[in-house]
Amino acid sequence: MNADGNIVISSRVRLARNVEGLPFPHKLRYERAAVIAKEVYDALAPTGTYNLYRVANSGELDLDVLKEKHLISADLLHTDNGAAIINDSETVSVMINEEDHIREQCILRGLGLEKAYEQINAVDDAIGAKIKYAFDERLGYLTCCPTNVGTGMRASVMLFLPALALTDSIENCVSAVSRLNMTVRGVYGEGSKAEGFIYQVSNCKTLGVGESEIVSSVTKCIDSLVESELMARDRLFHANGAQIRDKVQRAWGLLTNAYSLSTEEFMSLMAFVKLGAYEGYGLIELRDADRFEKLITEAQPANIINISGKALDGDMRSVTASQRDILRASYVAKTLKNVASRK
Amino acid sequence: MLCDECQKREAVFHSKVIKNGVVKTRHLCAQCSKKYREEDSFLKNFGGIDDLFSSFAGLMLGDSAPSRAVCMKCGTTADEFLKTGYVGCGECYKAFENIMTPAIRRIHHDVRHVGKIPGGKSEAALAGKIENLRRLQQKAIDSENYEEASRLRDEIIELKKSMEGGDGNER
Repeated sequence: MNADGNIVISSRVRLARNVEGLPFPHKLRYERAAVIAKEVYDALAPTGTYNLYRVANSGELDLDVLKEKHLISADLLHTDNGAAIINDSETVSVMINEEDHIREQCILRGLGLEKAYEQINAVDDAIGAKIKYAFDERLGYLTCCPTNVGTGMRASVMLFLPALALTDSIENCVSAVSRLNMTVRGVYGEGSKAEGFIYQVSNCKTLGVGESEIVSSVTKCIDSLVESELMARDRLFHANGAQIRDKVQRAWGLLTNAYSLSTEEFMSLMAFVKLGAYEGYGLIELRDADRFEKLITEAQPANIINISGKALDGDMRSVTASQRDILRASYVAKTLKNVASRK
Repeated sequence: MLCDECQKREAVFHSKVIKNGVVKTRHLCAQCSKKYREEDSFLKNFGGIDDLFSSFAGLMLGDSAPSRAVCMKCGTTADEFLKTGYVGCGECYKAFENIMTPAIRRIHHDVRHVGKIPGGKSEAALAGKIENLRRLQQKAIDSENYEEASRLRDEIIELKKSMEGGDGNER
């Protein structure tokens, strides 16, 4: 268990870039658009092991697996000439022809925006050495939407905030965060729900602010959210200790015994088991915190089908929703018993 | 949290609206938000700060009528940008400068990039930029425009900070 109570799930830094002289993706001819992926791949290949996935040539299941791992966005899935270039350790991902020609991102576990920026900055330099970016002396990196112009940088942190949500304090926190020029979203980005009490916090301002300042302002905001969450956890347990213990034990019982489990049910039960694993509560003992955390991604629809190996020719629809829920229940029960136990 | 409007039902829609530089936060229940949506064209894009940002027509409210300009490079029209929030190419920023600059200022509260520049000559470019700002600062002092001079002083301090604190990629 992390010192911060497993509140910070992951840190991500994204840089938006465009190729100089070319119309942006929604105005770009298909043939020219397809070349960008190859050019970026060639620029990155000498710096590490990267895999190139073209949306048009990839199976729906493979793409959904990447989306659930936060390596590509939902929007990229609907882009015919879209592509993603992803490193072996799945920390660096470069999306091609999403909203902008090039969107570079680095995602790391825990709180580490500085390190994520460092890594993505090196990737940006490697691509920038081969491709001339659209850049303006006054406005910085030019992007398809002016909300990203300047640094083109979005630093976002994924947080697990159950106590703030359960004590109805989350709305106050969201408005406080908004006043700091930050935005709060659900787990799968813009417009998505905060399933399993998971929220994403990121900067809004990209122009007139340096990269290191963005990193430090988001980090500062996260520190104060973590502090608020820890305080709310104390309050929550103090006021409703028996109820929380009951919720956690029921969640554990269902997750380790259910025959069928939907994604929504898994997410809400897993949130309580995870809250029970908070060291201040000590209701669940984690023997392998990394595997435990990974289970949240593994139990998502495409990932669970992928792990089971039951999809025919990479077609997600060859496994029905009820078959998928049964596969999920069995995988979750087995994994949870391996990595954790109820105290 | 209760709805700001009726103070009875639970608020389910939360928005931040920036109007004339003033930030207003609103929490509304489903019924009141519906009423607002119909009444208030600014809230037609209700649903969060990102929706607001993507609505450049909303950001332009109160300003002169939208320009009929067309980008000669990609064919995007100013109206198209105002409707979608997307420009077609880098040249659009120049072609629609008269509507882009105020929109950008309202989004970022700034119109000048201070971050990384491509090409690794950032230290030199940064030094040149500071020198340029110093000249502008002196001019402002000479013309007794102290407000502008102090803004430029802050900008110089910011740039110097990023030069010292950064890894050479920031100017």
